[in-house]
Amino acid sequence: MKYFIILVIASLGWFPRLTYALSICDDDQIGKTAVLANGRIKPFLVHAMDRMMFITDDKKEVSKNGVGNYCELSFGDKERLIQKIKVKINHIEIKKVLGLGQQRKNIYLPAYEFLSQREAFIKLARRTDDSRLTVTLNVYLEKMATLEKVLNGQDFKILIDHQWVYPFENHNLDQIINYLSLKNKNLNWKVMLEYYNLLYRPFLISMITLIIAMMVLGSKKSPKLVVLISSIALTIQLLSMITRGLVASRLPFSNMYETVMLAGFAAHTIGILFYYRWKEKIVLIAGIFLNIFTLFMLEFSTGMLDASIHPLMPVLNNNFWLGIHVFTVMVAYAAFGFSWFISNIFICRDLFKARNHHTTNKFLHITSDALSVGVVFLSAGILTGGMWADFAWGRFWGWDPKEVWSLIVLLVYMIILHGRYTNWINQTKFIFLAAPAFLTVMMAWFGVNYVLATGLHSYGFSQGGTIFFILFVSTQLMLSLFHLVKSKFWFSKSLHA
Amino acid sequence: MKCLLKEIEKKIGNMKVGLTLLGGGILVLVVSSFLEGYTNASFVDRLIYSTIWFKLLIGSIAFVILVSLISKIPFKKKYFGFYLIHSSLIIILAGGLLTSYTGINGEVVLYPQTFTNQIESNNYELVVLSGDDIYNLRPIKTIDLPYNAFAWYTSVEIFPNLFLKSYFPFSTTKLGFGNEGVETGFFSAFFELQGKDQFGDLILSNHPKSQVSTRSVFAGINFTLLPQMMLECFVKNTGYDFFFWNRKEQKCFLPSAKKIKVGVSQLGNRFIEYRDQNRNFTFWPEMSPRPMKEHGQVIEDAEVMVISKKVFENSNDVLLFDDTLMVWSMGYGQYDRIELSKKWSHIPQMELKVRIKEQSDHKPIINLPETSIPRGANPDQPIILLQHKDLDNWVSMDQPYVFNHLNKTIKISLEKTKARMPFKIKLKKFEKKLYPESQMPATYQSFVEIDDGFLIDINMNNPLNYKGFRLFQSSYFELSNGEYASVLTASRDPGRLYKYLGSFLFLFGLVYFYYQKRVR
Repeated sequence: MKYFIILVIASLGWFPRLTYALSICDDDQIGKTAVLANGRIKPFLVHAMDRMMFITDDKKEVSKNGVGNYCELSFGDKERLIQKIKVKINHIEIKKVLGLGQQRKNIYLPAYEFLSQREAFIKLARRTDDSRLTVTLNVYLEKMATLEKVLNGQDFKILIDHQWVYPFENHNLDQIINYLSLKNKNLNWKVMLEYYNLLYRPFLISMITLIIAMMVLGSKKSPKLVVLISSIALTIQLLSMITRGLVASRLPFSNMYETVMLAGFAAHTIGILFYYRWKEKIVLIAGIFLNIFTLFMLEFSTGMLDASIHPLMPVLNNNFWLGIHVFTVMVAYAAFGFSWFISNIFICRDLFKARNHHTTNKFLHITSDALSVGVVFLSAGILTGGMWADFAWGRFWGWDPKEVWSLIVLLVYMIILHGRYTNWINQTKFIFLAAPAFLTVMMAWFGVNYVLATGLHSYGFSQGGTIFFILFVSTQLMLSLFHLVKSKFWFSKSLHA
Repeated sequence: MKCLLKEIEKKIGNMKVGLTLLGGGILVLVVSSFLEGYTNASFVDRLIYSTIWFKLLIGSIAFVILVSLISKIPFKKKYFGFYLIHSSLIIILAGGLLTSYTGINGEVVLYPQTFTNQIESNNYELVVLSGDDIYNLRPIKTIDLPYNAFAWYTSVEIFPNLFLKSYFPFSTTKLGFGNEGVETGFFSAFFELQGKDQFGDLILSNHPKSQVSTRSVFAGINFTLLPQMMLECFVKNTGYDFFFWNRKEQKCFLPSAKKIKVGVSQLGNRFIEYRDQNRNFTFWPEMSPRPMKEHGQVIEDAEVMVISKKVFENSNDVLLFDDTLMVWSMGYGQYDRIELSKKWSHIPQMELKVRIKEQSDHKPIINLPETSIPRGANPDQPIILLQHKDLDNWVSMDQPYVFNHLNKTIKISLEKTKARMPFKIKLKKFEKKLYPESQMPATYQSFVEIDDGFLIDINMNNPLNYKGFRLFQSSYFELSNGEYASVLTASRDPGRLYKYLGSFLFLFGLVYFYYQKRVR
């Protein structure tokens, strides 16, 4: 309980940072200004943070001074700024190029020094045949190009006299300042929605609400109250998701961030629905836990999940199939995640307490139900995926890694479900197996993108997920193995005694 | 008979057999997906997904499902869900089988304003073309190549005296000895070197067809391969520290003092003026052995060269006259001679050991293709080895083999296997739109004319359905003249109906199954 309170207080500390950042480039209204950049119209705040994050890769500094720095780079004392801001370099190959290969820590290179490396990088990119180094070098070259675009004032357009122009194309400074400080009341509702959706951090609010719900559940109050509180959180999440959809002008189901967002919501909804069927507190806990877990990932693991809204590549730009395919797959993953949690609770319980028929039966029904939902939705997801692929690429099935792994998931659960009809898998084994089986889901969902990093589905790629994935898999395997060893040897011993 | 069927049902329709097969299938899929991460999709497709044993594995799973269906054959209502789910799987797999054997899937590459009906698949074939001249060739024969992941060695006579020896679906190149030339008297060799804390190889050749040079550097030491004939010129004491070399006759000579004039330029560089019968040459022997024009431009085709001995008289130059190594000894002021062989020889003043791994006096060293396992999503590099009148010839996609036979021009080229559509299409216009202020394509589309006059716009998510074929916009590339060529995916899928039908039945069956279970 203490831990929860500390967590709540710690997360409250996150609020003022963004507002602080806004006050820097003189006028705090500038963050709300609509700019046209990188494929769509967005608030200056969003664009500035995106760009500074891309260029410097320094999360701490960007969340503190990102908007101000970007503003100064575009309009202010550029000379001073490129000496002040630092670019984080964490690729070992790039460190070697800079002659700093031995340093294990990240290097922070002042921007003007960084820019001076351009020739060296281009030369190396031409010379090398190491494809990984080429890819990395190109990322850094793109960072330099972006930084130069910012310095030249060519990085975004503003709306002056009903025309999108680069800020300094127009010489009327009054107009520019009026526009940037929103004095001309030229407000765009989508931009406002996106701005406030970012500023008020709805996912953080939901997370805190859910932690409160968890505490209420712990204090033995009526579960109905818990359902009510968590419905508030779910509503906030839903509103934020709708906002995201409105801002992007499409269903928000397209990248890793958005699928995690959807899965947490779905898992929690499944938890509430299951609660009305089985009247067990444990399913409520499972739903809330899974939702908190995904919300935490959305809010704090920005290195792995990129929250920025990018335009879709043409082949994905189909709301009908995007909606059906991603939604069904995510409900399936949520249901499997649900069974994973329930199964792990049973494993942990089994480590400390003796089994009894009643609880085993209870867990069996819940797990079995979750797997049924998962299997139905995953089958639907795979088949609608096949139809979409047939519709967009001209083939129903192409042995792409994402396809292969979704099939592996289905087959693994099919083995578990069918195994119940043989004497290989009995009731307790069935529950125990649901937890490690979820690792195949993790592989299909994250592993294919972060570990295999290949295939047609490569549009979902982001960085930094490998560690999370490996950590998750090894923890689960260790728990399951420990339980297996303990139950095989210790329980049989105690029985004999 | 009935007894036998019962036995099969019991043995094969057994759930444990099915689950073991499924487990095996999962294992294969896991391995192949990881393998794909290391190699690429094309390789794994050739190695696993398109092989007959993989299809047999799926087939055996289907067979077990079929037997389990038969085992529940007196129809019972409570098994309705079971029937639906399992029979729909067989329908889907049957559709897949139909697609893989009778379907067509490939790319149509549309160049502007040119009609085509060709669909390129991802396999290759060897095409033999013949005609009166290179511009009027007609295919006379095609040889299908196996859809392998690894090299295929064979010996098929595809033309008189012309054999197909091997096919590498994926290749890289490695330096090796090429075909024997007519001329001899050259030297090509692979050396192995061992320095103080460095190991390495050195490849040198002076064969005119070699793709390696006569000079190379190892551990800061310059190695220069010179003709055997030049050895004496270095050793002979003529009173001059340079000598003339006639490239054609492979002989060194010293013209009479009247014909040459040695001087020093204002910057302190030595130059030698030489009057050949009717031409005047100026050499700067410390800069280049070849004569130069006024602005430092080297005359490449001059027959006469001047070689300065001074250039090599130091401690980081090694001269090689074929297998004789010479190195300047600073202490004695003369060359040390070492005969190289397959055994290690020691050069004490450089703390270096050298040996010849392989050598030849008539073969050039060239980039020879070798079979490889691809890494990353690079385009395939298939290559074919042909043996024509006992000579090796490599044929790749962009390098066909052309020769004359009985007054006809014969061309053998490696091409993608082609299927033909019953109609032709032409790209009228290609259009791509970017998202504003970005380089990200928002959409691209091809305006296409079909040969019977229809004009159609094919774009993303809006394919063309025509005469059993479906054409999708899939990508594009820029041509050298700035226009765009469009790439469409073309498919003809006779199994489509089965797959859709099976999918719907499967889903319905699953839902029904769980609903029925709940009711019970």
